[in-house]
Amino acid sequence: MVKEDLFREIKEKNQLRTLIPAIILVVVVLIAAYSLTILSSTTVGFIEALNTFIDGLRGVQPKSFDEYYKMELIYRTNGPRAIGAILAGATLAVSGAVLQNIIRNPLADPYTLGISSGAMFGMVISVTMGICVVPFFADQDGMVVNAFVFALIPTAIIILVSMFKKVTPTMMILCGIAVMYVFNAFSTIIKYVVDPDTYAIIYTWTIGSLSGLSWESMPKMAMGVVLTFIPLWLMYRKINVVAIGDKEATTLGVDPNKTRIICLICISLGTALIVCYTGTIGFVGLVAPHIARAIVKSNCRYLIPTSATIGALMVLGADVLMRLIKPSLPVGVMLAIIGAPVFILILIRMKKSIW
Amino acid sequence: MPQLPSQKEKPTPIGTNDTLDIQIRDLVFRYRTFPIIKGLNASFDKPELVSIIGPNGVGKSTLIHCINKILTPNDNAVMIDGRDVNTINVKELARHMGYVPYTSSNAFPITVIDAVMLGRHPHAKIGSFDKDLEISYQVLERLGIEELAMRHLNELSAGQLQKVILAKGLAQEPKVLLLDEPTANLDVKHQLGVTRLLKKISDEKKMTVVMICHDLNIAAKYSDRIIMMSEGTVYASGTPEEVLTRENIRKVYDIDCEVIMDQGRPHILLRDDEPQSSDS
Repeated sequence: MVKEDLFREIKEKNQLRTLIPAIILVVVVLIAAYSLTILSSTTVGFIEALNTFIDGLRGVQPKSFDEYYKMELIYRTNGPRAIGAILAGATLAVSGAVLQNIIRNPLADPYTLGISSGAMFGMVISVTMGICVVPFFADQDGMVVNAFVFALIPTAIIILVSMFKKVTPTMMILCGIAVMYVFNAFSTIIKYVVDPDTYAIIYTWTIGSLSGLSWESMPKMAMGVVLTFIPLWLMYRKINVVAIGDKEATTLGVDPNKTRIICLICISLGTALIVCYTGTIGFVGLVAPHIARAIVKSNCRYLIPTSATIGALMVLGADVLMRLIKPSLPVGVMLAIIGAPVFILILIRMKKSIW
Repeated sequence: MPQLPSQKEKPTPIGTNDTLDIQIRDLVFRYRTFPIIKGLNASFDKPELVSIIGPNGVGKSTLIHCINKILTPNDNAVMIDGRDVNTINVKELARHMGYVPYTSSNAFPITVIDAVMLGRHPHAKIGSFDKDLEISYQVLERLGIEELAMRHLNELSAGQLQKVILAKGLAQEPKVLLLDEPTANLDVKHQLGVTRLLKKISDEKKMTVVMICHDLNIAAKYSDRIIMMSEGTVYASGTPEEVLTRENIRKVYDIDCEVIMDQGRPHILLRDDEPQSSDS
């Protein structure tokens, strides 16, 4: 191959890799807009729904009961639900992609280090016993605060250990699994004795659900994206270097342990902010990065934005589909039912076996 | 005369000269309690091709890892441009010192050109993409593997992969390049080619090239200097002729051989005799 051709090919590929997340983002926004029109009891046109949503954003007061009703459904219920789906998908996918790279394990997802089990334990003790670790919070708020705080404990343990000892990626995974077992055991004890109604709440939460998201939680969920996407994307070069091995990273001027800890802090804060509102939405954090890898390869400069948009697309798409078919199911179920076969199809259809 | 401790002086930057001055004095390194390197002295301070030879387990790789901060040596044992290596941060060191490991693996799909461009990381900044691409391509061309540029790392043969790892080290454009068996997976032709190239680069770019080598004849053919290690210390150091003698090889490797001169360089002919145990 002639040099000029090669350089052109590389640059064209990079342009394409920059363009892909932008294209997916447009699709995501379109689906989000469409999702506003999904109402259970009445039908509404696309333009009308959009108008109502924009009115809601501008703070226009509804004049009639009919308008009030539409505002309630489209702006207060569907709006945060669509945006929450996007924020959750993006955060989980970015976290998964970066975690896979820094601990060099394709099976890692944001919950590998025990975040989900910590969050679940916090949620369980709040729902069943009304205990909140931070005073002055109760009920729904107490549950969210509890889930957030407990989600950070596994990572805090890993960071604490790393202060005394060099922690290898494998040790991180094992440490996360150990913490996960402890938290799960406590949660199981509690789940064993609670009444069926409480158990149902806990169960829905563990699968992950987007119903019940409100505008009040949006800024905090958005912080999840801000805390993961921005710092991790700015660090993309370092993450790329750490992915090839600790020794080589050191000799290329990157401290692998320091980089890992910084990434871990971003990932656990971001994931905790999402999980405490939506419950543990599974699958997307593992699979969205792999779909992104199949499209743009593993250079984090392109992988992080692509993962983010694919994650958003997956969660939003699954939620919309589910609401069209059977609105009462939690989103995690639909993600697995649709997502897993699609993922296997992608693995089979891939031109080269790259894993 | 004892010096007063200086007050928060900014350390002198390394790598201001054309070559890096590496002085190793009484280096000791243990894995837990097991000593690997026991008081080693050596210096690398001019552009040359140095081969480190010695049997398995004498601490060749450990020595290299002590120089490039993969391991932490004892204080004031490894001095680079007059500064203890433990006080130099990895980023500063990486701009002047490169490392080519024995093998490298990537958990995820990555193209050859992307892998080689990772070698540019210590110099990379926003907008340096074109320059980094140009340098990376030149290195691939030099190694004759430019047609692999868009292939994936895990589609390559062991030999091709080794050349890619070498390319990554060369793309770093360091003043000192440390290599851990850079020719282990190559066939005879490419062993010669790569070692010849390393020698040429060390001459042209005034680069100090230090490589661990298991092929004594390859080391003899191209090295300016050979360091022969035995049990955690330097057993002999000097020109190939001085180091590769029948006695030294028998003592260190516990094998019998014959050394003949070929094109002004020693050439080792291995004898297939039962080893005459050196401790008898």
